[in-house]
Amino acid sequence: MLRVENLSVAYGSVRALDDVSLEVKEGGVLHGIIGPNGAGKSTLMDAITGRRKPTRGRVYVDGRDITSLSVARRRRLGMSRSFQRTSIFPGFRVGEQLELVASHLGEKDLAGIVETLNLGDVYGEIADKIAYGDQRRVDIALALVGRPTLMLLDEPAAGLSTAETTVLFEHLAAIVRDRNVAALVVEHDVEAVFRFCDTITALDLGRVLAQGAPAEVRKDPCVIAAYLGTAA
Amino acid sequence: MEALQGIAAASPSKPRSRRTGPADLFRTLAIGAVMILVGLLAPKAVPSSYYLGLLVNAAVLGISAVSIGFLAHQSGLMMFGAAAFTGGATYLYAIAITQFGWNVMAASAFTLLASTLLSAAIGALIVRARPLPFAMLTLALAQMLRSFVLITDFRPITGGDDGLPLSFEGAFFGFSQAQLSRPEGFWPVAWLSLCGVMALAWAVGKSPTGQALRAIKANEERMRFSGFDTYGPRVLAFTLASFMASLAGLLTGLYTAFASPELLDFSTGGNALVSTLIGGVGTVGGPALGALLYVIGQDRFGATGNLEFLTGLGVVLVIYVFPDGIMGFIRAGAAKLSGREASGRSEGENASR
Repeated sequence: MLRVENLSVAYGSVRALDDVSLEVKEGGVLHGIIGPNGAGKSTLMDAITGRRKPTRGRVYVDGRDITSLSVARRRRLGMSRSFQRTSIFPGFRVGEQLELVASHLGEKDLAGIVETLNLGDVYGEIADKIAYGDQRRVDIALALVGRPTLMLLDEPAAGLSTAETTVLFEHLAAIVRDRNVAALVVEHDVEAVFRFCDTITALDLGRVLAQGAPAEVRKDPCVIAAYLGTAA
Repeated sequence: MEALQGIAAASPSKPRSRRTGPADLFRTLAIGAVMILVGLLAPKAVPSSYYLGLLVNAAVLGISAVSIGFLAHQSGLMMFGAAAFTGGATYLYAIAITQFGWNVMAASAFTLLASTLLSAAIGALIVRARPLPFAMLTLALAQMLRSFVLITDFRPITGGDDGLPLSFEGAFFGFSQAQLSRPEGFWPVAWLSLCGVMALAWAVGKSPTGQALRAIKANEERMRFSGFDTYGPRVLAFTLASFMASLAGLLTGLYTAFASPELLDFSTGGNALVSTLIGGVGTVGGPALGALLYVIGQDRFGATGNLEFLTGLGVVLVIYVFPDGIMGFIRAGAAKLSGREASGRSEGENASR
């Protein structure tokens, strides 16, 4: 599904990502990316989605090298993303923006997406006037339109309460399962990641500390030392 | 759940900007037809050739203003140098007549075609710029063209400081040059051109392309991450706007039979820009109304001998009192009277009206 090989991104002399490799083998999997601030999580998302050009390394989707493709081309090939800061169309109604993107990408089941993300009540509202939690779900809905095979979600629960985060992750787990989508999720709420993700990659200072099932990563001494602390 | 059922029934994969139902479309077409007819009858209602001349000037200026308003509303890009396209088109027309010896129809077709192609090429280079640099680039283009026509070496072609007087053989859609040089003869050409440009701006605004353009204006990055090409539509919008401005330039050439360096000056584009701000950019009618008010204001202020001072004062006052333009004020008032909240209109619905 997704293979990232030796990806590096440098900002001047600072290496934000250093030789990162990871693989998501199949759909229906929620893969968490965790790490402290500055670990390179968002840079990794940017490099995979084409928002930022890697200084080294390749990105493959279904065996195809997409490293040099544009953001829009990657999206049309099935790679979508949501953003750390909600990225919707201000001034547009929720329904208008979803329909615009659905029309472009040939989505046939927009009603299903709206229902899954519980956006029916705000469908006719102007998107930047609704509650922040609803805006987050609109952002995710925009990423879900067009039946993507791979979703990259950058801190989808940012700004949400613990209860809202749990509900959101329940939604996400159901979405990846029901739609057979692979999802890469960057998230600061570590407990939600350990609870809902099938596999996890832990980053620190741009490097991979550990990868594997949640139980393995939680026990990894490097992850405990760099991120989780001894109480974990 | 009811909302969801409604969504499903409405076939969600179809963009909803196209909410113009048959009744709305019929009403709009009817209003347009009445407007065209009333406009064509204007010479009978206007008391003198002088005032009809003002209306002609307002119509031509209105076309430039509509082009600026169209681009600003659809793409968020403001043309400070619309003079490059209006004045440039006038010169192309003049050169086609005086240098190539073409008849008026061939020269007019050449002017619009060449202007549009050049605009597309220029747009391909500059639409990636942020709004302010974009505005300054268009201004620089106009100033560059102005300097170019003044170069002594090109004087035999451009006329230099003296400009290019011209006269054409044949007829422009049945009108001779003598007829077109009079306001009574030129008015139908100017009015129908203005109506055509407004119809074009309206139709593009209502189309899926218009909705995509406004979405790009709202959040370009999200559009790219939604699989849209964001560059092509902006080039298209710029090319269309430049085509409209070029039409205004061609009409100037047809009416005045003269191409002067003044047409490429900032003040020429500035007149259209100010007209757009006075009328408001959110509608296709706003800039046209702004142009009419601007021309009337210039006429009245000019009679006092304090043209610049009163123009500046008037523009400041109008923009201060009507921040969304006079048409924006009228629309808000009409919405209030009909019980609708104007601010409740979304960007998707807010195609140019």
